[in-house]
Amino acid sequence: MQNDEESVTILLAEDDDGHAKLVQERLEGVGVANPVMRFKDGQETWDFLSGTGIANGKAYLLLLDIRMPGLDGVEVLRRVKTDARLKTMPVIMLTTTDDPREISLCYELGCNNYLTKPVEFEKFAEVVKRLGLFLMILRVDKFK
Amino acid sequence: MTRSFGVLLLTLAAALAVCFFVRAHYLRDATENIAASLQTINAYKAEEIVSWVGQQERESARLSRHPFLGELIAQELARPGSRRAQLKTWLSDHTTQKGYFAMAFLSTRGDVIVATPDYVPGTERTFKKAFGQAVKAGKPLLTDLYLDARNRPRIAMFSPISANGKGGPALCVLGIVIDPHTDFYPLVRAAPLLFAKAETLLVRKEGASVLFLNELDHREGAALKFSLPLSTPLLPAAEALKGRTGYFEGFDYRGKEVFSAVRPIPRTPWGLVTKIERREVLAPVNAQIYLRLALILLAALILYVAFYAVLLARERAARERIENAEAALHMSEQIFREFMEHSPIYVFFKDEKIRPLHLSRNYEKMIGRPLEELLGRSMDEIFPSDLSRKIVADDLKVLKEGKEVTLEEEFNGRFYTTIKFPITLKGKPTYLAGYTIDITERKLAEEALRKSEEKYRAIFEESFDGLFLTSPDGKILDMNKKGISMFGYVAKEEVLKLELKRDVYVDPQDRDRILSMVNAKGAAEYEVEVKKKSGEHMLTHCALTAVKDGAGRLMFYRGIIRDITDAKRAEQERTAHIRFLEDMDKINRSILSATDLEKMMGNILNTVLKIFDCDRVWLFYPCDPDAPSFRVPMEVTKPEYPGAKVLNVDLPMPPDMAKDLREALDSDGPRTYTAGTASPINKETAEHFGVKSQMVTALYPKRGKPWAFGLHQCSHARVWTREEIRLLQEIGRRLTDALTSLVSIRDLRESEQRLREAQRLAKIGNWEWDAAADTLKWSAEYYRIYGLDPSQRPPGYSEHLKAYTRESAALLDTAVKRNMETGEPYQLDLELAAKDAPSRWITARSETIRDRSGKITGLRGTAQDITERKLAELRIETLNREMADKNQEMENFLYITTHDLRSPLVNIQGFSQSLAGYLAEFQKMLGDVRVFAPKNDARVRELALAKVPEALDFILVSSRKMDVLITALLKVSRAGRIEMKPENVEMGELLRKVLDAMRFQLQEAGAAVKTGALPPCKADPGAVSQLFTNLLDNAVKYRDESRKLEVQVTGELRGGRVVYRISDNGSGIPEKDLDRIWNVFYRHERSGRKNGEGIGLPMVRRLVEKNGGGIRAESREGQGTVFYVELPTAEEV
Repeated sequence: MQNDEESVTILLAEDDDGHAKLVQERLEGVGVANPVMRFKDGQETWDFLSGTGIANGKAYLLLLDIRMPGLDGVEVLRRVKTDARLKTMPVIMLTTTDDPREISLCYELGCNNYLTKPVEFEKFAEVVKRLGLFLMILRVDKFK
Repeated sequence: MTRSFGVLLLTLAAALAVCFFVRAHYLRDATENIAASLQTINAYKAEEIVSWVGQQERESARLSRHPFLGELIAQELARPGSRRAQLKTWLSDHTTQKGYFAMAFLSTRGDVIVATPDYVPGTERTFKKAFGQAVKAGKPLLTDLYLDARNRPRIAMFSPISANGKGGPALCVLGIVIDPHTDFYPLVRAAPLLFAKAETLLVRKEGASVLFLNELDHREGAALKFSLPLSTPLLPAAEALKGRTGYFEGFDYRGKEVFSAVRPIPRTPWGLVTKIERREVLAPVNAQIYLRLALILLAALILYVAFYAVLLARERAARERIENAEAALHMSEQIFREFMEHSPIYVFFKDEKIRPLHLSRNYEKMIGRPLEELLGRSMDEIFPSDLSRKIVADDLKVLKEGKEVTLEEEFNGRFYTTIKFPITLKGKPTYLAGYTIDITERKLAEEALRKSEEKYRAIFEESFDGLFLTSPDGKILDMNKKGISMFGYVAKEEVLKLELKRDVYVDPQDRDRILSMVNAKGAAEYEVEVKKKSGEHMLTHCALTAVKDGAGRLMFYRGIIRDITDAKRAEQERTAHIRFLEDMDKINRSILSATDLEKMMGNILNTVLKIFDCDRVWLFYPCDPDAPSFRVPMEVTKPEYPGAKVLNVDLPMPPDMAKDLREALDSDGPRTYTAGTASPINKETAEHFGVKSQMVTALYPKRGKPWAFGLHQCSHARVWTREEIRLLQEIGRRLTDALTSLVSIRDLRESEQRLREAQRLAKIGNWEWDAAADTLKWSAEYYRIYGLDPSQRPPGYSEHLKAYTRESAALLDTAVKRNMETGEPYQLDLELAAKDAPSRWITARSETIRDRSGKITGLRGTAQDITERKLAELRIETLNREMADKNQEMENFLYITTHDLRSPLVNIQGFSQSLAGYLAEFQKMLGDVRVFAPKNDARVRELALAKVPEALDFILVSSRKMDVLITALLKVSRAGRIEMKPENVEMGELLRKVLDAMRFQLQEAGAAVKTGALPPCKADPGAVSQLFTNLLDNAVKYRDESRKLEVQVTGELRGGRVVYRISDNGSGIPEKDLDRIWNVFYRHERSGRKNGEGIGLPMVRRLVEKNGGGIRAESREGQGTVFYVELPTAEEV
């Protein structure tokens, strides 16, 4: 929020353009000015994460849609959480369902939060905002 | 004197010469006399032996022609044992009477029929040979002497006995065994008095030997055992056997020199020798000769004296006369002495001092001392002191009284009679003279007679039969104890007073009849009824013999009597019993001869008709007096008296017959009814069936009701005997067995028929497999199921497997092998190998067959056609699978759909919200500035402030509503996808937690919840919790505001399930909607009320069904609703 050096980059994995736009709008709406990088699907996300995209000395927050064609969110989460370099990255799952089984599965895999997509985007923005504060307090680890 | 001495010498010389002449002459005479005597004796004995043999042969012939014996034997042979007692009596009488050793009736094969106790079956060669000859020739025969099995000499006599006593084939042979010691040897031995020392020998040629047949004086037990070679020189016995007849001097069996007479005995193989030892016979002769020599010398001296006296006569004339007289006296004495020497009588003279003056020579033998030692001695020197004292006393008495006395004395075991008398000579002391006769033989004979008499008495008294003597005028002369007690008397005196005709015979004429028979034939046997002392009648068997004196005059009657009352009764009973057995045998044969049971029953009834010679034999069913009707399943009748005629047709039961049946059932054995007796024929039977006598018995086969079995006599009023009743009872028993079999077989046939029917209906066939023999047995239905030809025999096991498809055959084979090894039966569904037709299925079940030791010998079981069931099952399985697939598809569809529906909805909602935000921003800016042309300004403001917000609002509301719907659908679909984990649920506790969680909601609604007993169930606890929450939530949501909400939750066990009842007093559900409440999104329309999502009840239903339960509702609008939730009960832990 202060400067780019300091701010956390939000990685948004969302296949639906509308949803991606809405998430970005809501983030902006609640004053989250962090840079956002959007990926169209799971594979693209994972290519970025596993490739050279992650810059050292930067902090990232991953927002993962569960239902995506190809690699789905759950699979990306599993890869992130089993990757030594990536496993400390905070992950918030975005989903259209509140299926308790999916929720518990994601928590088991190590997601930090779980948000149901539709409904009130105000509530969503609130969560992200709190998350942002939370991130600041905890000082999200920067990649080295 | 010299002259006189010369005369003396001369006289002596003459005397000596005379002496030697006399001796030679005398010896010759003596030898001639002995020879003559021996020959006479010999001839006499031979005659006697011949006569004895003849006598035995005649006797034997007589017995052979004995008429009554033939009769008796014929009866005995016809019925062994029937005449045994009589024959035995006859034998023992005859044996005793004739002095035989033993007698026996022998079969022509030599077996003993009846014998006296002493009889030992002859095994000796002689015996057997002679027996064989007698049987063959049919003529009586006397054997030679032989030694029996115990080495005793015997003679046997065989008389073949023919049936009528007139010859003809022999029924049997009467064998008589004679002990030669008693009957024959005495004949040989007894010798005339003079030749007491002589011995008679009977001999027989035995090969090259002479066999001595009788007992010898000088050799113990020689008879038939002692023999000498025929070549023994100068052996008289050998001479006799060589055919010599006459006098023979030789050496006897001891080698002693003997005189003998020999001869063969005509018509026998025997030789007879009568011999006397030379030394012995001549000893007295020599003694006499010497005595005589002495006498002659004495006579010579006397002559000399006489001569001398003549010389002196001139001187003493008178004295000469006296001397002559004395010489005469001497002569007389001489003669007397001569007589005495030869006399068998002992003669004695004693002087007044009782000293023997003269004794006959035989005293030497009697006393055992030479005469010289006896003469002049006192009695006590000669005889034992007792005897001598008696003799002296007797003698003195004789002398004193001068009378003749006769005495009996015993000395050295022999008996003597002595006659003593005094002889008084003038001027001399009185002599005592006398003679003694040896009476030992007579005495012994008398003793023997006495003993025999005693023996006879003993036999007479101790006999088991009554023995008696009666006089011709009808009195009892004597009767033994047995006879007396038989008649019930005690003392013999009582019996002797009886008049036979008056007191003994039941029919006095019997006596005349019997006597005429006995008088004519000499003896008779008969049965006669007599009276006892008590007046009681007694049937007796008697044998009466007329006893005649030597002149043939009737003296008295001798008889044997036996009480045969009991024997007769026993015989009658035996005859009855034999008849009974014969009749039962006929029944048994009629049973055995039948090939099937109906025929057998017919045979039995026919046989019964014959045995009883009655008019009808019938079976009657049932033997039940209370039965409304009866039938006659079987009857056999004589043609002139047909019976019921209609067989096996129900006829109404007349009361009369019912009475008979009741009596038959109450009775242990057959009941009899006879017209005109105390137990008459009932009216119905008498009139309708013309029965005059009836016998009925109830039969109790082991199955079904009792039967009645009976006989009818229509020809006459027959009184059934005890035996007949017993026979019918026994036949009834056999018939009962037959009936049991008949009924059982009929039942079995029906049962088999039913089994076949059942198998046909159930399409079950049964089979049995004997593993060792590899034979299969199949029922008719089995053939049908397998589509096989019932006329074909089942093949072996391996062949039969071809009936199945390969998979099924392998399955079955494995199961069969395991069953044979372990005894574990199988149940398999098997597919039959079908050629063209659609496949068929059977269920095969097995059962193990074991032998007694428990070893598995085979299998049996059933095969049921389950093709239809199998096909139905397959269809259901397919349908179920399809359905499950569909369900899964539906679930997935629902899940995916709801998810995918949500995605665009998020955009709609999200962007609508964004749009609302942008619009609010736009409206705010619109109030601040005027940027539009005036003519557009109003329209812009209208659009921005009214139209767009209105449209946006519709979009937002609708999208929110859609979100709610999709969320609900998601829930429902998720409920379908949740996996249930059933466990035992304590409902009381669970409900408490549910109520706790809902407390606020319930309190707000003012609801009162009552819970009753809640049995545990088995279900997923989360699901149960949710469904109860939903139901209670519904109760709260749809409560009637006008009254306080009351909810009751109770439960009960019903069958294997728990049924929970949740009732409320809410607004209720309209009847038309009751079916729709389970549909998703059904909501009861109510104004002004908060409505639910519309998925509560469908969720509940899904949850209940997922847990294997069910749910239904009852409701009345305005009154309340009751939900019944049914779940499986908790399992016992």
